[in-house]
Amino acid sequence: MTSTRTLPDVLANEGIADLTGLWPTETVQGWNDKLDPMFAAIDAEARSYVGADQLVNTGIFAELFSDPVRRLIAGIQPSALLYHCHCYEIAAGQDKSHIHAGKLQGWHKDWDTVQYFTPDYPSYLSLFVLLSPVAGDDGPFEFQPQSASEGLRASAQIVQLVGPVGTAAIWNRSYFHRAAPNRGNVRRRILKISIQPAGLPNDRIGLKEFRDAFANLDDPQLRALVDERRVGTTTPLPDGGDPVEARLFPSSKTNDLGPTAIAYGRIQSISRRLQSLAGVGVITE
Amino acid sequence: MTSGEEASGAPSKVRSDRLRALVVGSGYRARNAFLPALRCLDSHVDIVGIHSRTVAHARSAAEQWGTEVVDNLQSLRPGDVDIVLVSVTVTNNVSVLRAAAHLAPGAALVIDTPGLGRVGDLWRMALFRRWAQVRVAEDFMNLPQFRLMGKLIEEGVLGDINKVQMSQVGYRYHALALVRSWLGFQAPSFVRSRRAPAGGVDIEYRFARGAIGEVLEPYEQAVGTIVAQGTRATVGGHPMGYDIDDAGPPDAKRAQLPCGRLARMEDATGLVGFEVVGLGEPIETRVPTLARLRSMGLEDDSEFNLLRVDGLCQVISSLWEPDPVNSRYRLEDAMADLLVSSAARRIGWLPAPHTAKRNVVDLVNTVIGRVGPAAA
Repeated sequence: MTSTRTLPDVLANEGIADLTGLWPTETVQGWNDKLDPMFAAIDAEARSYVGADQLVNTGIFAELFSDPVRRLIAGIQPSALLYHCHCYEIAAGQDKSHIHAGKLQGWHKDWDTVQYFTPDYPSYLSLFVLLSPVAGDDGPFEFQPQSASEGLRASAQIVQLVGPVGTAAIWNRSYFHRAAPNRGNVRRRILKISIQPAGLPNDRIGLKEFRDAFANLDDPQLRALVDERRVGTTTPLPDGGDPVEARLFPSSKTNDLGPTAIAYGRIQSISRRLQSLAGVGVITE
Repeated sequence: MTSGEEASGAPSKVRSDRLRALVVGSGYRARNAFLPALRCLDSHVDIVGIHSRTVAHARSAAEQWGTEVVDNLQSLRPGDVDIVLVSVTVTNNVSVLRAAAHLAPGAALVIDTPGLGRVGDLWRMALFRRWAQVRVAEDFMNLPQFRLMGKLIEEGVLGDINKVQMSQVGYRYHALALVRSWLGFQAPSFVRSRRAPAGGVDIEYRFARGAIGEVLEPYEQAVGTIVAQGTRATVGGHPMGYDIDDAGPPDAKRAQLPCGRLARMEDATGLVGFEVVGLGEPIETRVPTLARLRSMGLEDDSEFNLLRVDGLCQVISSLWEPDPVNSRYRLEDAMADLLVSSAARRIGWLPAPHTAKRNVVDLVNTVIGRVGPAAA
């Protein structure tokens, strides 16, 4: 569904947009050919990762951040810097979300985004590219659109990221989202990128996977994406780019949460704040 | 722009190309101070646009200064600007800072004093903590003649300062900021005030080790006298350097201390700088921006305003040049000076709670930081 609204506008106010087609399917299939043996070696793990450094070494990183992708990123955030960049698989045959499963059926915001959250402009973004086909029972990514400031609502309309290999989305990490349980019989594989303005605190860009990625890249336009020296600055990416039109993701179903679960979640949130007031904890949201 | 605030006043890392500045506001101060100051600093700064809620005013200012109108702050993205300069009605600062919050990461904020105008705004201090650097546009203490006097104080020429007296010169929190800048930015311990015979309020700020800052009203801007008295010498005079009959305070005369006098330096075009005479070799400061500012044809081309613009240049350039004055004068200081100087006008005797490094606003912030909103 096309829109006359720009990507930053949609990501601020709806939270999610469709990027399917940004990476040609044959390119994504080529990535899988390279990733298959790497994941085969670690498929006993419930969650297995191929990091940014390995993506550089395999050449996937350069194809992932092609000219149009870099322009799209710079069009939203001229000073963008990576926060996540990896492929990962989650185990099949599960009855719980692989992350934050303990409450609200895995629905959560990325609370590290709250301190510098800006309601009018998207600061913390992730991009997902499906590397395995995902149907409703295959652990699809789910997202509650429309307002980051709103709480989680019972039976709210949600977007489900399902589709063939190459299906892709960009979404605002300050909105509620979750990974649905992967009840299917195939490990779900996704490529994940997170970006944020270089000026924001970034506790991941100094990790070994990013330092190694930086060391092994020659192209200055690619190096800038993982350049730890840009943290705390307004230094723009070399390419530049203009905001593009967004393609909206229609909501396709409702969540399974009831009022009791929502109320419990709110009580937990208030409890955390009270603990912080009493000096026994830190506000993390 | 930089990787965080510097504590020592040393310059932080800055990109080698010119900094991109956005001006928010198109009122008197923006047109007669901020925009001229940025023009004076154009070797370091590009004005990328002017934003104002009154678009017609923004358009007019943009035409005059050869830049763009920014209708909507959301049309700018993180990384599009390095400095945002805010000069709007103080009660609108919070809404402007909210709208510009996405531009804050890594960027610098220059905001007109006193930053926040209402006690309730303290709840929104988190909005300022998003910016890599914050500078308060306290141009009064940056006037070149006062910086010259401050230099004498800093170099120990006057000895330990025991009294600063401003008669008709100092306006409320600006006066307190100047006094504090000459006393190493210590906060007053308590404040006394009384109705001034000629109108207004006379305020006496008491500092540690007995130093006094005396601000006598009514305020008349560029007239009156200003004197800094130390244990070894005194310096003072007319704030614009004109000859006056009697600049030295009686205490200094009784102690027979050497008295330096603030004097003007002029050429055919008018004022070109200031000097202090009477303390051995004259010590001077030149103000090269004056010639350029005169050529701009500002609505307010009064000498006092032009000197204030020069002071604002000092504030802004402290973002990339070493400047122990402006890098030390924090937003919290400006707000504390507002609170203390305002309270002193209503209460005859007032203790001003602070610790060695934290003023009353810092103390309030500590409490609010625990209970207040993390995100605005």
